[in-house]
Amino acid sequence: MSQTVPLDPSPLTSAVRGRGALLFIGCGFALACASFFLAGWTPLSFSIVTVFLFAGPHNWLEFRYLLTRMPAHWGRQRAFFSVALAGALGISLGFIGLYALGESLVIGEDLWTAGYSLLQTVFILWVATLAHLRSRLAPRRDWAWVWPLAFLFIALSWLSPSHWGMGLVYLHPLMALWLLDRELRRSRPAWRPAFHALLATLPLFLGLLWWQLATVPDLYPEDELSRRITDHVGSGLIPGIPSRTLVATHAFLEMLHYGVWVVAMPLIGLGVAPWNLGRIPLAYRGSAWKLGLALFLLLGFSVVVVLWGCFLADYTTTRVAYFIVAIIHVLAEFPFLLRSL
Amino acid sequence: MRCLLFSALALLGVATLAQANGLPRPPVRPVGGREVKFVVEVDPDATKARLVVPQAFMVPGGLPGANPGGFPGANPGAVPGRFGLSTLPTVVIGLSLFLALGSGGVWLARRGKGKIVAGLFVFALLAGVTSSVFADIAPRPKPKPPIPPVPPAKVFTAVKLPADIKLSDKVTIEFVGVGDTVKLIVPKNAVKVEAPKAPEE
Repeated sequence: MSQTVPLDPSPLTSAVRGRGALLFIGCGFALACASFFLAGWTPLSFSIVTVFLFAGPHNWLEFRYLLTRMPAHWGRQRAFFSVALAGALGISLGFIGLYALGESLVIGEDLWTAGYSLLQTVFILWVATLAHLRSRLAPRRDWAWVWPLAFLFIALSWLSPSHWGMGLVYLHPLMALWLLDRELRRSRPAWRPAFHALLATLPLFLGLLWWQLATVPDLYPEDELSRRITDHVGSGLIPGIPSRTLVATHAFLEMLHYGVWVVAMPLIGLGVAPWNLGRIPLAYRGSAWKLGLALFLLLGFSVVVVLWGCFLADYTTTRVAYFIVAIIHVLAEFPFLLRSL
Repeated sequence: MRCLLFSALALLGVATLAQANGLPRPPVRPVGGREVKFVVEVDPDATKARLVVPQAFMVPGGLPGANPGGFPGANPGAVPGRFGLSTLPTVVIGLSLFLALGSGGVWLARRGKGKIVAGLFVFALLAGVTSSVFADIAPRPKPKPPIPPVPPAKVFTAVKLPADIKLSDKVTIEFVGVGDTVKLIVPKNAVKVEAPKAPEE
């Protein structure tokens, strides 16, 4: 009877893999160190510059990566991806509409707060539904615990909508790290231990940042942009935590998140140049799909360039508009993360 | 199914005793600008300038039920005896907690953790009964001292605008319950009084 003998990896392959992991971790650590210093030294300026440079490109590259993960034919995953798409679009439109109603003074404070909490409830139920649908796909998972957790989160979101919203602001950058971990599991499993070691340094970086900023004078926003930035990170919501610490923490995490999408994911997850439609399953459905995808990616790239122009013309307004519309990319990460678990 | 029903009934009893601690803090969001009446008044007893802003201007569109001219310190937003948006968070929180505990019990029961479910049920029942009893026999809080009568609002001399007013780089800001005018109240020495013109001969 014949037996399959596993081939030992050649020493050269092992050396390359080891060197690749070392380079990956080295770059990651260098990015974390640079972000730590810049965020701690000048948090507002760092936040402004990083958003200007990376907001648009990271969205485009993230969309490009998610296209790689989207199956060509949904088949048994039709319900999952249908709910994902409908939910991401619907909830995004809800948040955008609520913001518009608030800005135009059409609704009062009570109604706005209730609307915001209601949208958060819909969001939580959407994620729970996606988790439930995912658990029924191969490989099957026993995720029935997601419902009690979802209802508990709904209670928390109504108890304190502002704190709940602030939590999501800080959770979003961490999701990129989780997605990177899932991608490494899929394509570079040998790199995962080193990546986990790098992740373990994050609490140290944050602790050191907070310790260093404890004795530095707080930020007092003097213009609209500074006020928007400090409001965005939840300034004043938790007594005793200065705005400078919150802005620095968020800028630090946000830069890591940009590093994941702009550098790590394209190098590790795409396998080809971002403008190459190879390895996009949808492109293999036909020439019409391929053309549509190419045009969509080109349009997306044009939006990135226009965004840079808008930032240069009026940074404050563009930043406000961007963070409202960009909610859709925050939501889009959830289905792909769940699918990868 | 029986387990679910018993758990649901017990937890409903607990959930109805739940109290949300006040209204949730509204999310931080930008407030649009609007034109309002602005007056400058002189308070002879003041030593620093203060800006008095009615609470109605803190939210877009003003608070419902704002009543200019009412008693100082009144809460124009309160609508007693009406089930409205102010009670919605409490209802949703109670319902969500009930569903969380109920579905959690179902999950544990399906995993064969019957003993844990039974324990939770007994705990919930005890918590419900204990809190009901405690609410009745616990020492009552001391009666609050009577609220002192609100002194009548002072009336200050208004300054005709535009005026030459000297201010420092700090001003105290006060939020009052009623009113439809933003007032800048300044000390006497902050306003430059023009000397009366000598009559022409």
